[in-house]
Amino acid sequence: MARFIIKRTLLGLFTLFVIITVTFFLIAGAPGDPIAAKVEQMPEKAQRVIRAKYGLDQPVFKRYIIYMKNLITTGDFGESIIYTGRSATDVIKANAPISVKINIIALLAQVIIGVFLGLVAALNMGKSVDHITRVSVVLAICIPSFVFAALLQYFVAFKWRLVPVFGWGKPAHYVLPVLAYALPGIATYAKYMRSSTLSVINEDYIVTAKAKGATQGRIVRKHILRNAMIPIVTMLGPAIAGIFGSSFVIENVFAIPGLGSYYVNAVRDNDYTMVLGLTVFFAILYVAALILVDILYGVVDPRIKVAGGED
Amino acid sequence: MRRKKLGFVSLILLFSVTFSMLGGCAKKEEPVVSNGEIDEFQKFVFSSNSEVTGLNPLLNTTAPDNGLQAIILETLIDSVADEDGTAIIKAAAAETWDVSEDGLVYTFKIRDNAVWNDGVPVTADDFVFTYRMMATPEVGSTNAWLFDGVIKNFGEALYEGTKTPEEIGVEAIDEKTVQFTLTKPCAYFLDLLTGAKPVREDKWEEWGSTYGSSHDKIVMNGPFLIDSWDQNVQMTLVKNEDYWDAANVKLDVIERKVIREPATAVQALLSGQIDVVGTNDPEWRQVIEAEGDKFRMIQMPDNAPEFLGFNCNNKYFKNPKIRIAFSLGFDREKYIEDLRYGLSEPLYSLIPSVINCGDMPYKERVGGRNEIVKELMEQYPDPRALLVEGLVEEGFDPDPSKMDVKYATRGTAEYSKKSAEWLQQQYEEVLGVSIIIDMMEWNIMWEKVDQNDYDICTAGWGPYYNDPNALLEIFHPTDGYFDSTKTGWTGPDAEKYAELLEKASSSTDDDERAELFLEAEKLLVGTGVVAPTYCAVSTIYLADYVKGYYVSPVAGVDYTKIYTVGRP
Repeated sequence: MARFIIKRTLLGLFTLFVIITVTFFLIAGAPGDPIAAKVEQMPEKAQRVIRAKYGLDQPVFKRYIIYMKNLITTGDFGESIIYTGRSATDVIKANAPISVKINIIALLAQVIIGVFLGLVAALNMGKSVDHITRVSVVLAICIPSFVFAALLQYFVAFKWRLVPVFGWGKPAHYVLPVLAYALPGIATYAKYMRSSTLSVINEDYIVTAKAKGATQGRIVRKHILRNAMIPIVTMLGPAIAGIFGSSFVIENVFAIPGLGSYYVNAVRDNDYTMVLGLTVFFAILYVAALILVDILYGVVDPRIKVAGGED
Repeated sequence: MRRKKLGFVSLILLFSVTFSMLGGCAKKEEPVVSNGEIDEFQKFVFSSNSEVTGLNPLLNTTAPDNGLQAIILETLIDSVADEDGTAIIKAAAAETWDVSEDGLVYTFKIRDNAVWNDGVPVTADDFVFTYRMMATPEVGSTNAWLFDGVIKNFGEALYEGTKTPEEIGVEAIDEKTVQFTLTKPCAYFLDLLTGAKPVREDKWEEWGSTYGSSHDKIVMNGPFLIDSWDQNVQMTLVKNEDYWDAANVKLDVIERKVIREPATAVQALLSGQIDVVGTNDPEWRQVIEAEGDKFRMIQMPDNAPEFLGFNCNNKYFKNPKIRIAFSLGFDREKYIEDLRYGLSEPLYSLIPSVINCGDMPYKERVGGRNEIVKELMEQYPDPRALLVEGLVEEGFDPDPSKMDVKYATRGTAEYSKKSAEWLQQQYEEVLGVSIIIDMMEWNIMWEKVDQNDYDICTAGWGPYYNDPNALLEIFHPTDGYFDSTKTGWTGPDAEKYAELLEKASSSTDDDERAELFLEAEKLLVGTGVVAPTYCAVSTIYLADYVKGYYVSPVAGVDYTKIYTVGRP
């Protein structure tokens, strides 16, 4: 197990290096530059002064060496060109917790409600519960979350005045964004859970368990749930990494200060340091989450032995 | 065993994060008591669609940055909106000022009771330091370029390195007197000064590059101070009790919210979460107007013209006749009806009607003779014939449908697409030309303009000060933003244009300046180098309990005048 983790970590580091390099050259090669966003209207000589300040007058490769050296020796992503005096690290520290809070609540709701609905639908296959769940699931998957967000805002907040239209800081502010985030997820988990449960139900060992006189509750808990959860665990990895990111659109609708809008704006403005900082941050999370999922597989299904494991 | 532990730990993690977010959110709203007249607790809430990127006035100079900094940092003199929407220059940190007879030396006397929020007096040295930092290339100040060629030795220090920042024409005569020496008379110098907000030397040294990155890393001297700043959500400002004119400041608290989605902002206004909103969307306007007199409407014409630029290096557009035909080839009023809900000023001159030349609008001063496009319309009632004439002159096939012209959009948003298609259709109908729409992001369009790699581009320009020169100088063939390498505009007309602008800038007689600007505009708009299109009109809705809120396209809101009566 330890050897596996070390191996995966080294591989992860290499992946990160590749991601940083590719991102650096991609964004440097993209048309437009961060100064264009900032100094759109300035005469050329004024732009030159500002370009020199941020080192953008240097050739791309030299900028890459400087950036990498700085990143490795100090671990610093560098100062944002748009948000002067602040680094990507500051922005992540300030805004990631907000995305995390909303997303964790939403993710919990998604998994718990989704798994429950999927299980109930599968166990009652062909009955009305199943039909209702299936139809709602298809609907919920089809409605884009931003449409749902706008509808929620219009009716729940604006028409019925149950919660504030927008804002951040009070518990009531969580209601709508969490709902908007959770709905498509609930539907997706329910759909996967339903089909994986159905495939498990007909396995021989379930029949054996029934034949041995196990109660319905025990069969569901011990035999069905654990096996049917495997696809859910697979989906959980990226989802856990995703809790730090968030939907730019939903953030805009409810004026939530998460990381999403920073990321999108940074790309739009070609704010090199910010884009790289955020990309590396998300990449680290993603790589870590994938390693975690590999480990979790072993927990859910003892039959899966990770590569390189001794036992 | 190990497996179970892992599951357990992650569960605890999940729950602790979930619960920690539930705490620390409850915050009481301040009670609002109305005694029938002016509210006891004075609060004003507004929103913006973008966050403040930073508080450093030399580096953070986007429009939202400037708007916010104007509340917390006081310049020597200020330009604010008056009741009738005009701009007035008012004494701010400076109590009085003198201008020498030749218009070259400005002397400002700073108030004795002007102080920073940490109690340190505002001195002449603060302003001298601010301007020196702006003239230092390593600082990379984003609004410094405005003073190039205006303040003595400024450009030499910033761009050429032939002078040091200490040698620029800004000096402290004594502790409270600051003097500016100009290179030539500048009719709009006072207006320029309103944009340069002060920084303080000791803190600038102490905080270095983090100056202004948070509200505890800035010293303020304005009527309001930042109390809390949750970036991207809200900034809360409180009255500065040490402000020299605090007795006349009515608001206790200003809240600045960030709402990016226009629909959210309108709903927030209707549900009483904010006090003011700007929207031109006819559906939302209807919804707001259905509320009756709960909201007041203010319509404000903008000062930023929109225009089409024709690349004069292009094989077709090097011919003025073809350019003029394209300038006349669409109906400006129809554009506004079709695309802007009828809410805009059609432009027949590059200078919108709100721009002043001296103490009256330029348009008034020249008696409306600046509507050059209208004159062209009379002169050439059939733009298509003019186009064919131009095509023949240049040795092309006289059939306009054989032309190959690309239109570069400024962005890929819905509006850019719609307006491009609208123009495509107009040119098809009026000129018989099928232009090709080249959709691109705005920064790519600017880069193409930089490289003179376009046929037709669409652009807008917000003038930095209230004078026709602020708009005309951008087309100066050597010093302007749209210089001849971008526009391709060269030759005797361009040279004459530069001469006229230089002549105007050394004059102090506003009538003479207006005439010179008109001559220059005839060369620029009259030969179709640019085709002015429209100037936006903003519709603003204000909660009726808010009083003293005045807006102007050419000056900022004066927050010291705002108060509320009967806020629910």
